[in-house]
Amino acid sequence: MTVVGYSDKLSAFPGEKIKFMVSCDSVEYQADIVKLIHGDTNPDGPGFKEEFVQTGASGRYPGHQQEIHSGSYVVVQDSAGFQGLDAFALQAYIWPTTPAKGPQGEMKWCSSTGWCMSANGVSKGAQGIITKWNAASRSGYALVADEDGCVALWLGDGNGGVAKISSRAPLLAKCWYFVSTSYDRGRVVIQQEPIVGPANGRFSLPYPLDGTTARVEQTTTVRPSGAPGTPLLIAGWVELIENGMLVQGGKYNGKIDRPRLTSRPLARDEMDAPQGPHVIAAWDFAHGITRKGVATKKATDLSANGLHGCIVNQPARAVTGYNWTSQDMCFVHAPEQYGAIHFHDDDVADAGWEVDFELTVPDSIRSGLYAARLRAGEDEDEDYIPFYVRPKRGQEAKIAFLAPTASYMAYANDHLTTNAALAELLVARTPVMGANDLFLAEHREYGLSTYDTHSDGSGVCYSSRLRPILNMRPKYRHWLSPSLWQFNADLHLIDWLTEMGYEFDVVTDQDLNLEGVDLIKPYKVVLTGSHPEYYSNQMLDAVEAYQRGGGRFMYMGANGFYWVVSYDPNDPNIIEVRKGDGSNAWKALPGERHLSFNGEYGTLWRHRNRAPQKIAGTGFVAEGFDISSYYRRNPDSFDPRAAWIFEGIGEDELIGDFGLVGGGAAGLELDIYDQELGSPPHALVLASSEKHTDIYLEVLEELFFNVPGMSGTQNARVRADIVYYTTPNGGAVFSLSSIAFCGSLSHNNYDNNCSRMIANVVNRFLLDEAPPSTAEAAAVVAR
Amino acid sequence: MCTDERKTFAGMLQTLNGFRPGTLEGRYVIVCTRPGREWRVAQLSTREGAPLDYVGGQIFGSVGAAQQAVAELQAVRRVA
Repeated sequence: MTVVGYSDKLSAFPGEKIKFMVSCDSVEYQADIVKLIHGDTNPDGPGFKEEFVQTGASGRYPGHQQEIHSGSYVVVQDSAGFQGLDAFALQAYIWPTTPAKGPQGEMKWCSSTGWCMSANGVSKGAQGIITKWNAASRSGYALVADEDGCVALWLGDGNGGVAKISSRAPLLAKCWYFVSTSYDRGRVVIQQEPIVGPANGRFSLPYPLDGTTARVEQTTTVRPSGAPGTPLLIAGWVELIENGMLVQGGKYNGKIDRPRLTSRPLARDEMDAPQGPHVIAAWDFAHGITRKGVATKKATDLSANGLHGCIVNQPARAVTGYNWTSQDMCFVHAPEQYGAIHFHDDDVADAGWEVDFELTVPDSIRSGLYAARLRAGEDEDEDYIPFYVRPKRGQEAKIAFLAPTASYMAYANDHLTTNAALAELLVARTPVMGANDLFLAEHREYGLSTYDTHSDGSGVCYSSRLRPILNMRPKYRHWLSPSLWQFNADLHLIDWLTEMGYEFDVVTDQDLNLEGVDLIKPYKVVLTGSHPEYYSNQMLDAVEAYQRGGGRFMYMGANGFYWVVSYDPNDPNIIEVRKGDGSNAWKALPGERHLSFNGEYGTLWRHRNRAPQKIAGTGFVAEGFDISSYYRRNPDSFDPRAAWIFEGIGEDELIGDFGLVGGGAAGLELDIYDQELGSPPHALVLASSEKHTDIYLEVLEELFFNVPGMSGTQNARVRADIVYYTTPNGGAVFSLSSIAFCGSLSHNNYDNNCSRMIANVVNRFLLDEAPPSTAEAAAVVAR
Repeated sequence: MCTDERKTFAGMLQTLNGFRPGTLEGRYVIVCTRPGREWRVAQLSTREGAPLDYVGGQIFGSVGAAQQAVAELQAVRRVA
């Protein structure tokens, strides 16, 4: 891709500024601001639609390449305390995840030679643990896991003299170790000792671990310099400093707990709370944990020297430490057992690019979804950087589209098609990749999604918006769906609202999380996107408050209100999720299911007794990604209280037997009415889908045992239910329960029964008069 | 892909992956090289950041044609 970029803000009011950061391989590029209407390039649909917006940001800009340096670490600015040390010790507890070479061989298929074993061992190389090391000048001192996966002490005098002393005992992945390296006027001691408890690591019994236990004593003539001007790093070293920017080398994968720098080695029982003049620095990663979590980016030094560090690129917090016993499963209850940070070589919190240009959002433009469109190169490669314009306060329309931006971030830059063998089974076809996917496959430094695992196999629990998110673009066709997914799929709805002449505003999850119900209170009708899957506490509370207050809520998708997330309380550009006990791409390790940003339990909202059925009447029941189906009207659809919804639709008419997403309105992920999980007893179940294929399976959290008969042609629960019910103060909820639905709205030039049904509901919900109440005692039945 | 083929394919993936998670070296994907117009068949690598290996030089004019080509390649692989 010749040109890519991102913005500092996701949404802005007219008059506010948005900054755009761009990397371009060409000499120059053209930037323009456009309003996005329809992003689907499928020739069977209305086609791509955008509108040029005249702004001062339009123009040609010089192109320059900007890189992203992934990898998390702690950086401590240089200090006199790190210099002139004739004796020092670097000690920590570590839980390395990639200490040795990768797989020594994998089966490879070559179309010309057939199956063969490929030598595919890829070493991660040496990884820094606690380093005062400048790779460019080979000076300083460093505790590392070396190229052979052994603990080592590196010493460099900056004049070519380098000593690398190894424990010569390979570390085991995912096993805790106490590692200690010391230098005292030429005498070096290295200690490497496994710390195996019942629950703290991969192993639990006291197996003989002699092969990974070591004590080495050696002398050296190399006298290490203090690497003046070079910061101290934890989980890496300084590769170089370029234009004031630090480039990390020796990226460490794994946990580090209680890193210490002292003038003499500490005994094990001194490691927890070292005090005294011999303590140069003792960083406590549990410091800052409160009942509200641990969102601080500060690595506190407990010593009198106050050599605090800064945590960079959002490594995983709220992770179990060397001394975790499993008796407490939440870090806020036992912070002393959660004194570790899990670092990854592919963490990214902020690409940190220079600003290329700014936009002052014109006063005159309406609320909506816009983008900075960038074009460069001979082939006019293009990228779109989307942003949302909010309405001026007090000038809101009657309808709001609530863009599920938390969910867009959860899927940001996903690598499932390249990294997951199950991808093809999930979609029952060979995945199709486009240019954006190829770029992401070759540029993992652009960061991962919460559907990916890090290079060490651990789950990705944070996602940042401060990087180019190449699958959050118009025109992008996602491998998971037979057509579109998330951001681009939601343009089906924006297009329909536009074509039908509705005046509407667009607000975001990020705004909802910050402002709560005040954001959506002004609106008569709020419509969700096709897949509002990731929800924070604040967002759920806001939606329920809106419904209680008389708002009319239209759930235009499925598998919504599913995962528990939290935004970083200090940075709205980062979300966190802890996965498990659901239908998930990875599972959080035991003891690590609580969110670091707020201390609350993660996984699914249903496991916190706030199932989606309580929010929207229906909740996730099944998924399948080959083709979509239709809905058939149920008897409730003829109830006088709901018949208005089907005005203009025949009694036997199949609803949505057409569409751009899998050929039908009921597809991809499906939600079901279920009173056990909180579906209101007074709701009307208006229509249900049928005839799904056997690629559709009931989701794991609904199953108690894995038994045959769970698929689409065999299981009556594999269906989507359209539901309508009223809420207090004249409010109402209407739920479609299908991700594919909005792809059917434009069929036959918007003249179809899906469009008609939604228009009936929107028009009725816009009236001041309360919609027909479903809360009549005679009609409340157990379903 | 019919039910029997899906079962066989799933079983093959399990066997060749050694019953562990992760991608299978050489797994096929389809690459849309010109949106709406051209598609090619490629193979994935298990090495992070490695580019795809395109299989032959054939360019397909539809996704369906490319899918069919992959199915034929997979059939050859299953009996190998």
